Amino acid sequence: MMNVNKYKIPLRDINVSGTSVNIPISLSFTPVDNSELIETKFIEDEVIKSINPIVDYKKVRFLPADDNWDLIRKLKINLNFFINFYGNITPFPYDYSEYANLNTNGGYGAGYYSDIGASFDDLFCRTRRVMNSFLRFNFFDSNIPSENNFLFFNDIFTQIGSDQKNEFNFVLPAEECPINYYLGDSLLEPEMIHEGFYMYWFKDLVDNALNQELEIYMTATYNNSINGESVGLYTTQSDLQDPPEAIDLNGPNGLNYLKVILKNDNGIYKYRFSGSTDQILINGGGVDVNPPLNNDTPEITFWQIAPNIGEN
Amino acid sequence: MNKGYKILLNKEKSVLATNINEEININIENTTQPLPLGDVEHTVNAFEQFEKERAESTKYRFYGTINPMISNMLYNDNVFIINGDQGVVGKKILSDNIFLNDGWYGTFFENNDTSEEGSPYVNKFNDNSSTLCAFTPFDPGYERLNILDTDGIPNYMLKLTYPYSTKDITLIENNGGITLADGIPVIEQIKISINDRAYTGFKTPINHGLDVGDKIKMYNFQDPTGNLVLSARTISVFSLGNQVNDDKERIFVVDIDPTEIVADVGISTIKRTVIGVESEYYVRSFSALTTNEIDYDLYPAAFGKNYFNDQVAAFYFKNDIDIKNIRDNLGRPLSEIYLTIIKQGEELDPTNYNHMYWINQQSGLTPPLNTQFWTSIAGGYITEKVKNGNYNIRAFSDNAFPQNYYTGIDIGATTYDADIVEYNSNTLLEKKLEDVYHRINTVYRENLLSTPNTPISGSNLTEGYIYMPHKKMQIREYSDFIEEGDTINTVGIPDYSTSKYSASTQSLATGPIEPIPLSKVSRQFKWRDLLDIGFIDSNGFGVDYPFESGAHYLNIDTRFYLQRQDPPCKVEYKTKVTSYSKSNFPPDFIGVLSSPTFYQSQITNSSVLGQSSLGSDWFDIITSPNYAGGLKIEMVIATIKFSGIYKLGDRYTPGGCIDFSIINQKTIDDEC
Repeated sequence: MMNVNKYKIPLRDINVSGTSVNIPISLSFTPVDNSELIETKFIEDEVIKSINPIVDYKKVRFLPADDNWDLIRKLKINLNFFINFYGNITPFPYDYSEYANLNTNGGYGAGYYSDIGASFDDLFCRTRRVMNSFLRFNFFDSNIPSENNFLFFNDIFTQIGSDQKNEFNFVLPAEECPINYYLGDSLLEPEMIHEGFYMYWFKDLVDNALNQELEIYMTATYNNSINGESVGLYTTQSDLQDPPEAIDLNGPNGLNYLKVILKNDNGIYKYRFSGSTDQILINGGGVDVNPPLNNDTPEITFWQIAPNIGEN
Repeated sequence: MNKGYKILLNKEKSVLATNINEEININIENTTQPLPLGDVEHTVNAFEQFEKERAESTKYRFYGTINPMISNMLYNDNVFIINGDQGVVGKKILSDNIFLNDGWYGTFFENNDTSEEGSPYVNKFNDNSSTLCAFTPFDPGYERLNILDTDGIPNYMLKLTYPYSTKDITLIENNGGITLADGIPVIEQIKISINDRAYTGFKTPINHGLDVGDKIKMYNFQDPTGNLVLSARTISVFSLGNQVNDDKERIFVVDIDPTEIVADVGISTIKRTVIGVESEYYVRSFSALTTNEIDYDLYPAAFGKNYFNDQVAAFYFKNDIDIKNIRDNLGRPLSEIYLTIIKQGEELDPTNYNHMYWINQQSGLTPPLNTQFWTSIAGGYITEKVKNGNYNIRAFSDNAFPQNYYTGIDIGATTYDADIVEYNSNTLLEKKLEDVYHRINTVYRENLLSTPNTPISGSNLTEGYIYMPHKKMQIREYSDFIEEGDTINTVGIPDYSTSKYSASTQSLATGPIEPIPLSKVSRQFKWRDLLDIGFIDSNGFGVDYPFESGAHYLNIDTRFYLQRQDPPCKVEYKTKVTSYSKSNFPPDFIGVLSSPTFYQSQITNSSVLGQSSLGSDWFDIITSPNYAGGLKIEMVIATIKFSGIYKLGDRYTPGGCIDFSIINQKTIDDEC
């Protein structure tokens, strides 16, 4: 208890008994509460907090570039699949044994439509099961499978182009008809296919990234309408005798993802495939966006992933 | 409430007791309880929040499509350029092999052409279309004229521009120093008869912008009778158009007897007046908000083929345009932004065989013309044909007319002379009178006499292309209502307001756009408010476009029409009788056949030649071993001559205004 205002009452002031001392304790108060503050500050703050910030959803088109960030006007994509050379004869596995074109061009280039079950009639007639088969590029925000987010995908559908025809403009037999795709710039190569050639992503994310370069990661899947299978693809070959371990698949140099860098290059939005050590051509990988000759078309080659990859 | 407590002195309690000092603690304990406050609810209105953010945002994003109306009707020469064993040569295409395909002049490949470089047959990638019968336009063809360009060198530059200043020009050459600021000049006086009463019509070189009933001030007209007192009064516009009500935008009629007034061409001018306030006339200059082709992305529009099979181009500008504190030529916030399309020049590339041909042809020209494909751009207006008229874009290169035009126009420029407008400080509105046009031609055509090819009539082909470079995008609209206020008591008078009583001496506002502060000095202003985005008033004024991600999205779907400078509307069918000997037949005759204006020929002495069993066809005659060349071949050669309004050299192709029914037409079918 705190003593305040101590007063003395001398006896001389109390002349008669029964003197009364009035101690006025009056609490006259004005009702005051927080309503004004609530109205002026609290609500305003809460309103602001309740309104979503403006997020810039503007997307821009990214043009493909080579390793030097020089724009490329076309891109070739090759696919390779396992085939069963040995007709399921014991002791060979039932559904694969070798890449079809392993012995041609040192393993580069494309496999053939017969590898995925297409017949000449399919190709000649452009049957739906061939034409509706497509290659899908899936893009993620990181190469850590347990925590990455799927961003978007690009689909590339079957092309029966000049590579699939002979000099008389006649479709090649399925055993000689390569599974490849040509993608080209819509302005500079107007007769080529453009779908899948560009990427579209948020300008804001790239502009605010370190060095205005945003790294995303890509996987590839071939969706085969002939047999309904989705086949995973790597930009490196799977060695059936010595498949890579699971630990080799992910991480900065993993095989699972192909790094793609989106960049604002002085106002021109570009992207490039940035293969890891095992994914680039010089080390046997499929990423070859800087061909040595000017007339060569930048290429990316994909190989089917061995089914037992990562088991050991 | 009073509570009485008695405290007895000690002596009152006992006789032995003495009074001592006592302390009495009086506890004043207070407990508090908050006053109950009722439930507080506040509704956040998403629409209001959206409107608030939209009103506050000054960021714009521009995107759209350009539908081109382009063709090569002014081609350089009817040659097909081949890079063959003989080097780069131009294979002359005979007139009967010149075809018009979707508005483009060119020829069809023949089988023996397909092995030559430059043929579309040399196409490795996924070309599922037949390349036989492929049509190839003459130069300048698709790759030099289309909005979408396949050779990597943009044919046009897109920019965003806005009106930022004004300038004065002299529309009609005169000795009186009369300029556009003095009003719209009159170039012709016309007698108009209405209900047996004589009125006077006046023709202006540009659109006058008048309506019936408008008041005009007329300057520098002769008043022979002295009754008109034009300097002291305004005249009412009685009607528009000539005697048959045509040409309403260029002719106005006043109720003045034609005998009582005389107009001096180029000296006499008119100005519209609104309640005693005369309009101002000036040229607006546009300033660029963007710099170069990096600012935008251009690509083929989905399903974008127009009626003439031209590819529609889509575009978007990558960066936001923030118009905060940007003022227009009247010191106001921007209410309009223009999509500006500028034709890009082209340096001829000696490593490109298609360019090499023209480098060879233009080798006799002085630098830098010899290495340029396009002439520099000139700017002007589509004006009336008047002898002393400046800026007549259709008369460019016709030396019978003054050759004064806007120059220095190129893709690197940051400012562009643009439209002619009228502004009246009473209505506070600008009215566009004329759009500016740009004119280009190829260096080869413009200087044909200096090339190895001799033109038909010994003149350069100086008809070029013209196009309208600026396409308006209305980003804000001004209110239909004029506000007025006094600086003493009106809060929020915008600083672009016009002084009510001293507008003519008022200087334009500059710097950040802010309201005029209240002051103790009374100054009266008037202004038009900018309508909120999304608000359309009862008269239909207002703009509404998407607002997303903190920015306004403005779409423009426009046409780009590359027109002829002076489309020839007159056609003459000319015949000429000539005779050939074997020495100059067919070389001379081939030259006639390859002329684009050749129509047909006929041998008139076939009966004589027939006696020698040479046949009646010229090819049979000259290839016949019996033809020794002694007999001359008499021929009538028919050509078609096209001519326009201005003298711009030969015309190879007719304008769209010609009735083609007099000419035989060949139908192009699938069998070529």
